[in-house]
Amino acid sequence: MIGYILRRVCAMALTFWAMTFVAFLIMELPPGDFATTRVSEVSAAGAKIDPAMVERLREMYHLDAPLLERYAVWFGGVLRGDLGYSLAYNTPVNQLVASQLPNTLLVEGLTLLFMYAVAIPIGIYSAVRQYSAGDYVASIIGFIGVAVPSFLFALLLMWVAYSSFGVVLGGLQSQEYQGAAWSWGKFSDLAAHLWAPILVGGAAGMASLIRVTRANLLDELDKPYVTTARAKGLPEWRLLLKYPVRMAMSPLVSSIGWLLPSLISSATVVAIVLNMPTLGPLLLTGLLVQDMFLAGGVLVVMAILTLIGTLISDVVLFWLDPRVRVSAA
Amino acid sequence: MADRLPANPRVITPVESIGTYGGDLNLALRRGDGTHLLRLVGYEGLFSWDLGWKEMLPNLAESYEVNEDATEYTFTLRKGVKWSDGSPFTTADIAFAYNDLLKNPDWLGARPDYIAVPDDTTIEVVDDFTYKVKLAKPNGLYIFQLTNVDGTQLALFNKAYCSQFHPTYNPNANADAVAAGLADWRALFEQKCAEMGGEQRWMNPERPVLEAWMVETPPTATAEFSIFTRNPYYFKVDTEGNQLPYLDRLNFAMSNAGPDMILRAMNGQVDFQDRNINPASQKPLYLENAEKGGYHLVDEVPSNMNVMLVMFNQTVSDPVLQEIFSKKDFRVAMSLATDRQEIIDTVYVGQGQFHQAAPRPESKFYDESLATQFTEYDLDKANSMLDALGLEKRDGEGYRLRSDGKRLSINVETFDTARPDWVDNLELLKAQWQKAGVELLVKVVDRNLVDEHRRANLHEMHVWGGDGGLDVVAAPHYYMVASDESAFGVPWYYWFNDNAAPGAVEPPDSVKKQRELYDQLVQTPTTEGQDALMKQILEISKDDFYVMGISLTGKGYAVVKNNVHNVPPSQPAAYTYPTPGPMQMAQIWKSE
Repeated sequence: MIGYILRRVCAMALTFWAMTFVAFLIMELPPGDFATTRVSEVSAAGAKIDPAMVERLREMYHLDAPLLERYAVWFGGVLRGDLGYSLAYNTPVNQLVASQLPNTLLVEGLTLLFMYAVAIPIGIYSAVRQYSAGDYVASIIGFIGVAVPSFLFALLLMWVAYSSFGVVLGGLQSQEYQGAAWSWGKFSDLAAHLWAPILVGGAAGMASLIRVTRANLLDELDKPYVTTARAKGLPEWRLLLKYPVRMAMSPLVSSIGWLLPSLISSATVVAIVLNMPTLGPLLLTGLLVQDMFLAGGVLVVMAILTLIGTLISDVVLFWLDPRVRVSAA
Repeated sequence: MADRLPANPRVITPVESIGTYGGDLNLALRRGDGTHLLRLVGYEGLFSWDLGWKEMLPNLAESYEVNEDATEYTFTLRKGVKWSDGSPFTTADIAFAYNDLLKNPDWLGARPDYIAVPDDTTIEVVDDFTYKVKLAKPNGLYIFQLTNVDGTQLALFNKAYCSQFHPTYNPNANADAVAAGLADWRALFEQKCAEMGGEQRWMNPERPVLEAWMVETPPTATAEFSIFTRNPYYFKVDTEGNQLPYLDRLNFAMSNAGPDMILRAMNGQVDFQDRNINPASQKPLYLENAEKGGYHLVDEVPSNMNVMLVMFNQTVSDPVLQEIFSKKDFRVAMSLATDRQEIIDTVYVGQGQFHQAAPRPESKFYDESLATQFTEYDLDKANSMLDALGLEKRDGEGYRLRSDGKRLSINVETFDTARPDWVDNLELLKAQWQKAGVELLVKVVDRNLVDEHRRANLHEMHVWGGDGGLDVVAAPHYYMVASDESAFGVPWYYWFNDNAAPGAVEPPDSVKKQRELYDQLVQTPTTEGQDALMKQILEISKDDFYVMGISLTGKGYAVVKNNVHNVPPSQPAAYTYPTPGPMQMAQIWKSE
């Protein structure tokens, strides 16, 4: 087990380096840089621009250094835990990430829990009761969930909340609780804001989870070991959960790794629509204004989350699936 | 209270009524939109525009004098104006802005038009409240330029506070910046005492200000709300001598510019706003929900004169294309081949009015024939004009052939991020011009690339919005060659700056003539004299027809809650006249 984890961690370090390098290269691809974006933003606002300003900005931010040199400086900082300095916000990226990461983990963690808690039981139900009325209802809802883009769902939800209830969804807190100490009032205010992103984020992922669980379980249900266990007289629900469901979970578990970053990146659009104080909007701003350090910093955090997620799924699989144990040993 | 006010405070006449004190104004702020705050809170310069955008009124200045050839201005400041920390606002602050920032080549900020060549301006402090500005070249527009929003750059820096980050006053300024994890003093200075534009200026609550409200909770990237509170030393009073502002606080709900901003406004959670929540497409929905939300809409007349201008690059490097573009008949024919009604109906839901690159009907420079010449759709005439230009031969697909036998096709680059309507317009133009045998190749690229190609003169055709509909004198670059945004002849602009510069091309006589007239205008101290010269410039632009327009930009609107008072039913909207700044937010009040 220890050796297995060690090997995984070594591979992770290399993957991490590769991810940062590729991310940096891709961010470099669009024409222009932070200085030109800044200048065209200012002139779009209507202000007159001093052409020398581009050069002054470029020189101060060292944007004129060669690509590899800038990457080396940045990556050196990342290794020391310093994500650099956001040019767009004149703030250390660490500070920006530190302020949005807890919100992000809270929203995405709860979304994940919500997804699993709802989708897996429904998936099991629709596999066991295949072609029943309940299975059809679950499938239809599932397909609608897959088909409707989550930003559209968010927009519809916002419009319904506004036009029917006079409520504007958005953000994570009300003004009176900004910066206030935790209290029951602040907690219930947070809860009142949280349900919308969880519902929207959950709905999209839930549908595919239902389908995957259902399909996996259907594969297992006809296997001889199920018949054997049933012949031995195990109660039906206990049998289900102990053997075929456990097997059907393997593909789901192995996808935890990429679920975390995909939640964050797919949630970017939803976070913009719902005005969430999470990492997604920071990433988008960073990319739009070509603030390499901000965008790069968020991508580093996402890379780390992916790697941690992959490690978790590897470890859980190791524990869950004897076949993995055998091949790893 | 007398201690907090200057001896001669600026008296503001409320738009409708004397207000009562108190209350919070709720607004929605798009993250990163420093310009919104500049317009609402930050418009405090030495002079300010009146509500009608006609008169230049003394604001922080009390008066000024100018010599006959407009090279020496003497300013007197209001005595006893105080910064929000209670310290006096004096000529030392103005001299600091000039000498240590605007004239210091290391400083990162922008140099506005009144100090475009920093070495040409010298400032001489007479006493605490009087100073002289000496200009190397006459500038009759100096007060005008100070009255525009860029004028606020001069009255923004509290010397006592900001100089502690400046190496002239603090030998450790660089070391302090490095200790704070920054490159050098310039970065720390930007963090603490940023210039007028951008959002950084609002991030530092410690910085003393002259504005009606001070930052309490900054509008950072991560804040969900930003809060501004009353400045007890604000230098303005109403007509009954009550110190302004009436409102205690401004509360901004921060947003990523998502639909939540619009829904907030429709739900009555925004008290007054004219920015980021008011696209033309949402107006019917706002009207539908006005009663429910308890608000009404007021008009804003944009300074912009055109939804899209079309410029053929008369200095394009392809010599055959250049010869074609430089013929007025070609440009006229393309205008006649343009079915503006189809564009208005398809892209602008029928809202619009045929308009060339010309001042708006609300402007004193409006000239109907300039605005509407060649706007009729006449494909037959266009085709015969193009035939007469020697472009009568066509290829198998019906496109005209140039004199070198190549197909007459024109490349245009645009972007779809800020102005998706331009892409739609160009697709329609492509189909319309095909009927005249001219091929238009539309490429959607990044905005930066469009800018770069225009500055490097790599474009064949350029499209942009229409500045200068009301601010004709301040933004004449679509009526003449006045900046690198005059995309019909960018190298001509470079030639005016320096006729030996690489990429500079000598312009034709009429373009030079316009420039001479404008130089003369700049040296004319009276508005009447300036206007007469501007009209001559516009006459030449009518004859030369450099820039073709599509449709007049429609009126915008602001959302106003019914219990918010003193917002006029209509005001101009521009950047140089930074709406709603000149209305004076400080005289807005809210009843229960």
